[in-house]
Amino acid sequence: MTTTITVCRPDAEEAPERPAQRAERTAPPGPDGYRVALIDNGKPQARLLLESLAEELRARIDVGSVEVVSKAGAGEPIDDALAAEIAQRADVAIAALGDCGACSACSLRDAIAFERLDVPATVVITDAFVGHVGHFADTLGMPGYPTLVVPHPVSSKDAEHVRRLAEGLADAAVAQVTPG
Amino acid sequence: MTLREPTVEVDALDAHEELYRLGWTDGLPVVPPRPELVEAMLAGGGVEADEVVGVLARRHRTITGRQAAVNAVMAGCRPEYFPIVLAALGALTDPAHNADTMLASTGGSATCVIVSGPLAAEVGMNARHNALGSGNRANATIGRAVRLVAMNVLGARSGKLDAASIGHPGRYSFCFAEDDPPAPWAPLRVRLGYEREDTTVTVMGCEAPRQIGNALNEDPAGVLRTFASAMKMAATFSVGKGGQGVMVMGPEHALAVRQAGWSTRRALKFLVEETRVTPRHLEDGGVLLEVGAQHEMELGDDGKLPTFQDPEDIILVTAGGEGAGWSAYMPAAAPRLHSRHATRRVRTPGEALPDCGPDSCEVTFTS
Repeated sequence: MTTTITVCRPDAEEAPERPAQRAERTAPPGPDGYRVALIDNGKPQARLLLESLAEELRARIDVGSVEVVSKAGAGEPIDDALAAEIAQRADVAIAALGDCGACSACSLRDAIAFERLDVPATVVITDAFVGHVGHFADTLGMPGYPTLVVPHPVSSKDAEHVRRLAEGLADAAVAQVTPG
Repeated sequence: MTLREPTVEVDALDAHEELYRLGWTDGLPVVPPRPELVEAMLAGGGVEADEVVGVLARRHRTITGRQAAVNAVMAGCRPEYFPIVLAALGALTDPAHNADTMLASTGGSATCVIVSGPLAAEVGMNARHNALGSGNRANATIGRAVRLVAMNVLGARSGKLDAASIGHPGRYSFCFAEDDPPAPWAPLRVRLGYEREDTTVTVMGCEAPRQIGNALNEDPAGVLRTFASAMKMAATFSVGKGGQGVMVMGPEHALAVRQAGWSTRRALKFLVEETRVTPRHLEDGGVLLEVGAQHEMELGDDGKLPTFQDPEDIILVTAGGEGAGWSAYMPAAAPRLHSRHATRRVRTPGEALPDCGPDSCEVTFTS
């Protein structure tokens, strides 16, 4: 006969953030085209990758303006007040570069912050962190959040390589932030 | 949301295996957290089961007294250790420490838990021979409890919210006590602004300890330069970017510096200067400087980059036993931009809340 004992669970009840839908993807709201905000986390080559991606977007969709926003550090999500301010003047937000454990989680948070502010967004991560980011998306209330994935690493690649990566991402980026 | 049953039934003869299969352990056997043991732990800490003892807002996680107690039981803590565990969890979740990043990073740090004050000795913590080693129940289980909470409550597990690439053995447990230095040096808690009779817990997300041996040199600058050589290794991620670190001074090294009339402050200022590095130093180690990125690696007037920006970035603590001349150094796993050390005073069970004076704390709740 098996004797059992009662033990207390040591783990946390899963309590993800209030689930939310992604922002609605729309045509450019103004006559000048999409106003694009690039959320640069300061990782090596992140800014070049984002700016190259913005150039690729110009060739595919009607881009009115591009603004680069630099975060203080990759280990912090974008400040709430700053995100709200940018959301007032941006139609699309793209965060990068999630190429480590903490920064991929924080760049994902940046993208989700804009979704919650009704700004369509996406995030560029490296392939090593797809699963990790997936778990954080669950925690942040947007399970299955679509990302743009490039091969790891990016930081050690030269400018030409980074531009080619951006070119390769552009169609998926358009699909993720516009009605398609 | 449906509330889950807070307990499960496990086979009494196979409890270790079942708890491991449930994904609740660190791989080593644990004490099955039976309700009566959890109650005793809560009583030891003087906290209620539903009291919030730490919050990690970015993960939408709170640590309750009950969760902390269950994990402390599993870790093997005695109830009298629990106030120290609670203070450690408070420090862990201090926003300055940024546990969300430190527990997720590929850097794979372990939470180094440093206990300073009389309670350490009262509960039998080890501050002397083998202070960073195995064999002392309080050191081992307090550090282990902190890690189990990080894993079970805050989601710090590989394949979940922890992306550690290598990690290190301190992730089983990484806790020790300060051996108060003789005057005129003050113990860590006093240098951090607490009272001598207080007990404090300081945490830092650290890489593994580097043992520092120097048995021949009694010159204070010589001893400190040996520390500096370990602190400024190019292989340490934060070198040149401004980081933090824990410096554990063994008795001979502390004696050499103290007897020469150096204050801890002077020693730390000396180390901040001695650990500034040239770009060539990093390049000789194969490390390239970040350009146009988040870590501003701009050279100072001396043509060098900082390992530490301020003396306060180094936690100097005396511990370890007499021998030939051994110390240790643990660098923080991330530059200060991302994470800083944090400290909490241990509250003893039954300790009254501070008197806020006649004009505050008058809150009327209406239902």
